Amino acid sequence: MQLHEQDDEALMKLVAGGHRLAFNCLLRRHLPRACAIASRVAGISEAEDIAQESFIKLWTHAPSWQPGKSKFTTWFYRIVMNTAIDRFRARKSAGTLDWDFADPEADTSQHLVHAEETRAIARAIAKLPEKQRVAILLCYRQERTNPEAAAIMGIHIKSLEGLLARARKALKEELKDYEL
Amino acid sequence: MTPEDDKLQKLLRSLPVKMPDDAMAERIFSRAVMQPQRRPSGGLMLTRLFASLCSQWPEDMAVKAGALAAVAIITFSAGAYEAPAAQAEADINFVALAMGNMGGGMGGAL
Repeated sequence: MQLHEQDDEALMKLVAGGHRLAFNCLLRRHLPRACAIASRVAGISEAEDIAQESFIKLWTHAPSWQPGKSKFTTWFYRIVMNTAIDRFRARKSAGTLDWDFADPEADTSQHLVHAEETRAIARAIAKLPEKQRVAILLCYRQERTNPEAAAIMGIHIKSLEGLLARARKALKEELKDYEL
Repeated sequence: MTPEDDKLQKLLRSLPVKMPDDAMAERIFSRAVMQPQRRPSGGLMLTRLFASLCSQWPEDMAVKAGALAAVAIITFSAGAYEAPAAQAEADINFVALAMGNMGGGMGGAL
């Protein structure tokens, strides 16, 4: 069987043994989603650094990964999430958080209305408390099911549902001009 | 999914994200594989071995019970049988020595 046909768990066993091609295969498979999570949680400008740090952790900690304990995706996206949260906190405490959740390269002259809407949503999300922001991004933006999102966040599903309800309420209030 | 959820999902999906390209993947790959992998310690490996032996007990009880029995046999055959034998030998030597001393003493007295 070719490497790219193997599932994440099989590839991870090879990576644990130092198999670089298997690592490359996992990297190519999960980089887009890792970048998406990083962009949403900590901002677009941080996405590459967060993805890089997460994949370095994947490589270095691969021998310690235990196949039966949790799914690869749960383990890895928790790494991405925690790395992104750390970056977001660092930027917030350093005062360098400048609402770059919207795309800085977007052509705002052509899509002025859309750009304004995007900026408002991004600002509303960035204002949410950390756990609410992560919960809403995992469930709505990353299309994770509630049990998956709860596993990634390491919380009980009831807690996740509570976070989602509070986040929805806050966003609804913040984005009332956009008829949410 | 309620209409509100649907609207929220559409709004969130409309937000742009960083799109990785080949160059980025290549950069990350080359930096990551330069790092040495951290091997788990011997203690952790041993813990995992025992955890794997004890997990899912009802499903493959025969295999795991056999493995645990083998460990027990090795442990006892290495320790439990040699120790009494060694102790018994020491006891015999002690008695022999004591009898010798007694005999010598008695002989001297006689």
